[in-house]
Amino acid sequence: MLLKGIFLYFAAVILLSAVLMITRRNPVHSVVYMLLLFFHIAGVFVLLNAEFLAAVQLIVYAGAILILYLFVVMLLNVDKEKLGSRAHRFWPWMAGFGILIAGEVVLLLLRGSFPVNPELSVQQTGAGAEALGIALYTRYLIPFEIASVILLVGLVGAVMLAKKTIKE
Amino acid sequence: MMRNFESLAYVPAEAFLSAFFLLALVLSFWKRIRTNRSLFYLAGFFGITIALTLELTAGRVKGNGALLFYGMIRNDHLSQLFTVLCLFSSLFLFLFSFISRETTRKFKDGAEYVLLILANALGMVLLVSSANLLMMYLSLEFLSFTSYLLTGFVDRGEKTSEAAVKYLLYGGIASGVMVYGLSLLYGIAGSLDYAALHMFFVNNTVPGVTLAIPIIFILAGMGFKIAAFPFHAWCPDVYEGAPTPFTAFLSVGPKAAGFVLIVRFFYQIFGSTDGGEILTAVGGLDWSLLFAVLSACTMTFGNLAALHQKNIKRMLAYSSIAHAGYILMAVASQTPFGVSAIFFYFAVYFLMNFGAFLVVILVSNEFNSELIEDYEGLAWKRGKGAFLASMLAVYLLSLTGIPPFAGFIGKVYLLLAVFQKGSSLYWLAVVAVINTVISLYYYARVLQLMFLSKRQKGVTLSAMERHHVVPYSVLAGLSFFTVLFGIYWVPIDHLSRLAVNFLK
Amino acid sequence: MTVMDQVANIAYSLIIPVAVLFGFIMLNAAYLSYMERKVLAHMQARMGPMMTGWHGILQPIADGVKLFFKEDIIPAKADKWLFSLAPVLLLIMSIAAFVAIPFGPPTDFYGILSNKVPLWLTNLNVGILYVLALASVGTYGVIMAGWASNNKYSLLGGFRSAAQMISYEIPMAFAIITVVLLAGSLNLAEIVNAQSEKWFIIVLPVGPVAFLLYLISGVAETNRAPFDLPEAETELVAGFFTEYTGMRFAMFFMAEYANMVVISLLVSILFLGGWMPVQILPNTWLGGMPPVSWINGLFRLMPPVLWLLGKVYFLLFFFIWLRATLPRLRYDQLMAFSWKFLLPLSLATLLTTAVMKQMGLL
Repeated sequence: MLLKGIFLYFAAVILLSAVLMITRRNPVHSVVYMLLLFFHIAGVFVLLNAEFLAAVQLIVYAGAILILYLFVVMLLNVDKEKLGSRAHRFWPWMAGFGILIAGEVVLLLLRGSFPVNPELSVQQTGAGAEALGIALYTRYLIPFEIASVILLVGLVGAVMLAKKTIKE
Repeated sequence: MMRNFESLAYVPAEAFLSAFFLLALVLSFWKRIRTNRSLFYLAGFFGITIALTLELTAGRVKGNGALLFYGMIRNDHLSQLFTVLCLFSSLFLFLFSFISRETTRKFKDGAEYVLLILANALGMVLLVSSANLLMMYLSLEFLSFTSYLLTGFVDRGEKTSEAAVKYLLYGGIASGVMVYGLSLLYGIAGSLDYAALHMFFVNNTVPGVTLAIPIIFILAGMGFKIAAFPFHAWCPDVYEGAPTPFTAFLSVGPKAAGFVLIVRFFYQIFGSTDGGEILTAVGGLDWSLLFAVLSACTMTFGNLAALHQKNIKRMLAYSSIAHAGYILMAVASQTPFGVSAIFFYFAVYFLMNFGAFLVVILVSNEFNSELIEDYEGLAWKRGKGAFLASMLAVYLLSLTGIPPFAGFIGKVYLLLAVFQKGSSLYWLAVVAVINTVISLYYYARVLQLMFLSKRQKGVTLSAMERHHVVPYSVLAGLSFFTVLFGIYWVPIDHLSRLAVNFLK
Repeated sequence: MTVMDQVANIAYSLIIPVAVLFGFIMLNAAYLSYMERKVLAHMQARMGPMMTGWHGILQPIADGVKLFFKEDIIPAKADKWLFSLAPVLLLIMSIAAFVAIPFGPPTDFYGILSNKVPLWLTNLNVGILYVLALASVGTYGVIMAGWASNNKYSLLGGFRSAAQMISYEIPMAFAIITVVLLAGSLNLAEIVNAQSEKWFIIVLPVGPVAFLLYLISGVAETNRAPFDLPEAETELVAGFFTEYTGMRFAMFFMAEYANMVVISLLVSILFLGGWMPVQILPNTWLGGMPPVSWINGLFRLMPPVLWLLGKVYFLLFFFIWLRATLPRLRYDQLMAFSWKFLLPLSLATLLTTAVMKQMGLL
């Protein structure tokens, strides 16, 4: 009961901050709502006994990625951003499309039979660092390495794009 | 299912490519090496050649192949055939980069360019052999990521920026939607493995809508990769803005890899053969009709849009959308023969498309223009012009699908696959034939301009020089094979029959 | 269990520890400023605060009262919402880190209590990651304060500090992972217990290197001299908190001192054996002859908490000492130092540790 209440709190705040994030005129405020969102997602992870993922969620997303967004956003001219309309000309169509997809997903959740696979439950496999490490370095070694090569390529690309601006 | 280290022996090309990529990256830290562009180009060229040799000399696959790396990668005939095709297209990308003026003059050091091409090749060969949703998604991202970067590599002003940014944004959204679909699929079936997913859908019935949503989401990502109709919007701008060698490559290698992804996903998870000639759809989803509609829309849209293009790269872009539509027919046919037809078509398309783009590169080296109107009277400008024009004629006629060129045979194979499915898809064959007629109009317009107009306006062609020998002989070689396979296509037929083995 | 028992239980397990911990943090935050002024003054041959109380001992209280009654100014063009949020966020993040830090082994306070109580609030099994996560989120407070003030000095200070904190977090994380590898656990209490034989700082060859990496990055994380560019008064007035007054200003100060304490605690826990007493000589040396065992026994008499706090205050003194000694770095030097020197070094350390651990050498 208590757990359910806590979960509902997290879910409500996640939804609310997600909506606020995309509707704020001031992009810096959007980033702050996103931070709130990340915190509560980490909270959901904790509820699922996945403390490691919760910590990584905060370190990687809040601590590294979002702060870079904030960097970029803060260099924008916020006053000018505020003047512009947040909504695109076609927003009713987009909203309609979004509602359609959301409705379909709700339908999916209601009618779909999501089989509970006992092997997948967090308590059994243990989402602890050790279990995660073992999974990543045996069964999922190749995807893991590919992911790191993708990041390496991203690094090469960033260097390449940044280098162009300097005229020799 | 094989463990990690044992599996390495079965993927020599992939292993070599990864090692070579890292080695080249480390070597590029030294300024002396990185500024020597031709050295790096040569290294890349030989790297791909060695990978190709390793793949060709690798042990023969037995039966329906082997699952490697705990089922992440599947080594079968389909993956081997397309690995060779993709590596060949990377090889041609290097070759064309040597030839094109854009990629030989406009940037200072080629290290990153070569590194990105190597990474791109690695992404492709992983994509064609992945047998797990996670692996598939990651290699798709890998391929897309390097493609975005290569698109924006040669700075040609606003057009390049527009192309790269459009590609990136479009690709980012498509892959985001796709990964959402994948997560829903995982939620439904509780597994990432293709074989396990197949077993799940054989044993359980899932309500239609439950499955339809994830499939449509996933199709968005796949459709983006092959530039199929509702997800094609990036294609013309990217083709126009990217360096021409890369444009040529983009329409062959990554597209072929994208088709293998579709074939594997739908044939292995949602289809089951009982030794028959037609697959039965599994999971209560009529994906044959889905792909038939997608195919009809794609080819019609591509051909209609190509009619009024002024830039030859844009025209070829729309034509490549139309060709994706043709190839989708084979997917819709739901037959093992369709897989053979896809390989056959790509083998042929490889020749004619690279050939057509090589002519575009050579002409733009001379005129510095890609406009169709500048091709006017090309056939009457020296012997060189006549050669270029006649070569382009061969490729364009083959792309249209006129005998005796290879493109015709390719189309026949695709249509045969459709007929094998039975009367439910006859309408699709009719649409394809009508489309071929439409496409004749815009291909023939270029021919008419080149041959029938004697007005020689604009720049004249330079005289033949020694370093021109390589590109012109490549051009001739490609057209030779285009004609040869139009008359004697048995070798490709034999190879393409192997592709089916993965279903057994 | 009666209601009284439950109340007592909650009081023992929650209210009293929280109160003690909070008191500890606040006292530290207040008296560290006094310590800093005094130590700096004596190092510069001055006396420091002398007027309020004996040798100025009441100075922090006087400062607190003054700040409390000052006018709270929010600049007209500032983003009011973020302006008020930033210091609170920063303070909360630095205080929240204390929750996961173990101060000593479970103890019954020499028989005063009937059973042993742990000297920590929670013993998270990913404690070290939790502290790291909070540290990385703390950056937001600084950068938000800088931006919300709508002042160019503040903005520059905010950007500098964010860039600096992100850059130094990486070698810091690698140093932590090195320790995690050595201890085989992410739990802070277990990391301390793993050092009962040998502190990690003297595990050759990686220990001292990782220690220095962590110490340097830690100083940079707290924006202390010689890495105090975000608040470099000669160029940026006071950096990101130029526009702050009164209690909000005080919150930044408290957060900075609380952060210093956290970093010192972590250095002690990760490298200096936490609450383990100093072992001058191994117990078995000379076959455990009397002088050796006497000295070691003597050291063991002191309660573990005091050992930990002793190390912490030495480190805090060391921070102040650094400030008195070293000049401030230039900004590009600061970044180059992190990315071109500390990062490769930390990677090398991690790799060496992993290889040696695998070969059974550590």
